[in-house]
Amino acid sequence: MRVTLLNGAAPDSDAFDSYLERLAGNLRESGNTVSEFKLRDLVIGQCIGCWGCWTKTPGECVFSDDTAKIARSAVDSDLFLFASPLVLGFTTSLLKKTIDRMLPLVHPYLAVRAGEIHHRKRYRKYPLLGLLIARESDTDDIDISVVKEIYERVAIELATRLAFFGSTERPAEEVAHEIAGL
Amino acid sequence: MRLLVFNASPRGARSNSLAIIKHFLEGFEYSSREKPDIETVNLINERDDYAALREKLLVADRVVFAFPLYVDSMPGFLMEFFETLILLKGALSGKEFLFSIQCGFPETLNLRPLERYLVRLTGKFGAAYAGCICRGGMEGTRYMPADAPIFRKYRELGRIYAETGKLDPGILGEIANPEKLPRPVMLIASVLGRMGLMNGYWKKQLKKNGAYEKRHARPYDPTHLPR
Repeated sequence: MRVTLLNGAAPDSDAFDSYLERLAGNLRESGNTVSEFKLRDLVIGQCIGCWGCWTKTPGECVFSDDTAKIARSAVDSDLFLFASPLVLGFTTSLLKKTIDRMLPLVHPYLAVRAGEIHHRKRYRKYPLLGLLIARESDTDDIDISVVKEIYERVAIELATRLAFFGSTERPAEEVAHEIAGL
Repeated sequence: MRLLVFNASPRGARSNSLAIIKHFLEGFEYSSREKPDIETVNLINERDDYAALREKLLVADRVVFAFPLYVDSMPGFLMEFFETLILLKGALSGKEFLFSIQCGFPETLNLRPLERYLVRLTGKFGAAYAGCICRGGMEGTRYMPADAPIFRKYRELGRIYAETGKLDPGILGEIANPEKLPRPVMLIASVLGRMGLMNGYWKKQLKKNGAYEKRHARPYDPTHLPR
């Protein structure tokens, strides 16, 4: 399996970073390919809502930065795995601004999908989506259900489904095993 | 009474988010007993000085966040601003947070998970939750005339909010309609979608930009052989 892994942690997230290293290491050991992007080290601008990626340079953002590499890797993957510690009960702004820039992966045209109106697919095949979070000290079950529900919808938007959702409380080996079995 | 409005649309002053919240504020100002002190900030233009915005927030009584749905939640830079408000934890109790969110998709149901998050977020800040105005089908709103029925509803909502401190559930429901398109409408949409008849706006834009022939481009299609 080919995995595109986005590390959305803010600077000084040593425990989270080393968890992801163990996860990626485990996945590679069992024959999977992992392309990891540490978002905080990359050049990623905010989406400005110009729709140029739909109406000027279809399929590509009109601004060139590191998000093009991420989008290219995602399209060539079986799993697009978002990883982020929760902050205020949500994934980080670093991850969010990156996801906002994935808009070129879908088409501006509308279609009915999952019984709702969404953007049409641009590519023939989309990777499954996964979300790995780390809990905050005050995270409760409602926080978890809210963030999961939002990412289930993100998956519909990106023409796929949320195939994995988990937290770093589980051992990295176990998470790697589950992911490899998707 | 100080009301601080954050327009968190990436389009700033040219946004639908601002176009609609203006009508709410007009109604609010009209019915306020004393003239309120209302300040509107286009967040996208103020990203280099969040500290100044936090100062403004500290002296506000009520805070409105108006923004579009962005890949099923808030635009990334609004989350970035929320993260800096962690510094104010404990200093936000007694303030009221109100949200106005909208999306281009016709069905308001797209906004509900985000609405549930905003309730949680307000609680984490220790502020009071005044409610969330949700509206689908809003692309192009900024070109609508001021007497459009939808704007009247926002003005009425603002007026009642000034008088009672509450968002009227009946008007919120009218603004949110349609929550979900009825099945027959979806069937028609499905057929029109397959025939390519739902996309007039996009086709026009693509043609205007000379990009119509490339509309189905797949620039990131894997170049290696199929696995």
